[in-house]
Amino acid sequence: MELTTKQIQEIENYLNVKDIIYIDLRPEVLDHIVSEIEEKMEIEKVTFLNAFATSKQKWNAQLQETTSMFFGLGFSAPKIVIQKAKKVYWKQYLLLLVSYFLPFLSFTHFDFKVENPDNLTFFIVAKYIVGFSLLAFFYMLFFKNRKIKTTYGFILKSQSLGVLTGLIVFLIIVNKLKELNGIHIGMICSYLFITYSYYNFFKKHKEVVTKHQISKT
Amino acid sequence: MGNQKLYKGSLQTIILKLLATNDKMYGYEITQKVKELTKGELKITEGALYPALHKLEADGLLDVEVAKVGNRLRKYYKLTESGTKETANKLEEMQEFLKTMQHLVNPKFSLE
Repeated sequence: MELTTKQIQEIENYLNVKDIIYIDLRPEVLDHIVSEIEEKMEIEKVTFLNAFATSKQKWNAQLQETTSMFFGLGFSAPKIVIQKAKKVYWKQYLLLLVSYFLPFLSFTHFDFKVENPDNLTFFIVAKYIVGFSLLAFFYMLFFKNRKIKTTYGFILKSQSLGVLTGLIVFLIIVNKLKELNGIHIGMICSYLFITYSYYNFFKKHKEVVTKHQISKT
Repeated sequence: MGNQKLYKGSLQTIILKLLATNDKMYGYEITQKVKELTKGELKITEGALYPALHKLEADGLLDVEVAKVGNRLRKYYKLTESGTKETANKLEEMQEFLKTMQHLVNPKFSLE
């Protein structure tokens, strides 16, 4: 028994109230609920309202608003979104720690006095990298697909402040540096990694948006 | 069912095995297939299914395909190349586990 457009709209309204507006999750949650209700109506001969009420009871726990220490308590989303974001993000989080501690530990005894940062190719190249990263960051943050939400977009939003702060601190380090040691190299590597992983999440966000837009047409 | 906890650690293997036999499947279809194959003994809840699917997707073992079905979108999951290899490994591990459990629980009637 297929649901009518009006009945599907009722389910869509429920998902809106629950903030399931993330396009990588919404179609599968909607499809699951619709399929479940259709089957219940057909096999158990119950009304749409009864079947929908049972489904809502099952889904409420998955759709309740929650937060995670991974993304900060200021960033809340439905549980199903947070769970997916954590599964996507945890590897990057581990790599971020490695990107700081590995260079830091490898260069523990390294201490290089910098006479004039403007004469060293490393600092010149680093300044260009930071400048380019900042531009790319603002472009990704403000100009692309801001209205369409995905789990990757949620990760980007929660990481934005960290990336911005990191890049600015990196810029200050590169400009005012009088010596270069393991801590500086660790920080520089981790900031570069954060920017790289931020770009990767942005790319994934765009991929998901494209995939869903193509399917809609 | 009282023994649902025993199945919990095997959920990923179950999903991978189903996808290896069925090419591509969507979430609700997986829950129904499992219910059907186990004659209602194992019921996968939404709270367990989707985190498992998203984990497998994040690990690169599953790929996603979105298709328009009727008046809504449907998200299909299918195995990637590394997913196919991982399925073989997981099934082998599962066989070993079952053999060991058989030895422990019922040594007289072991599978070997």
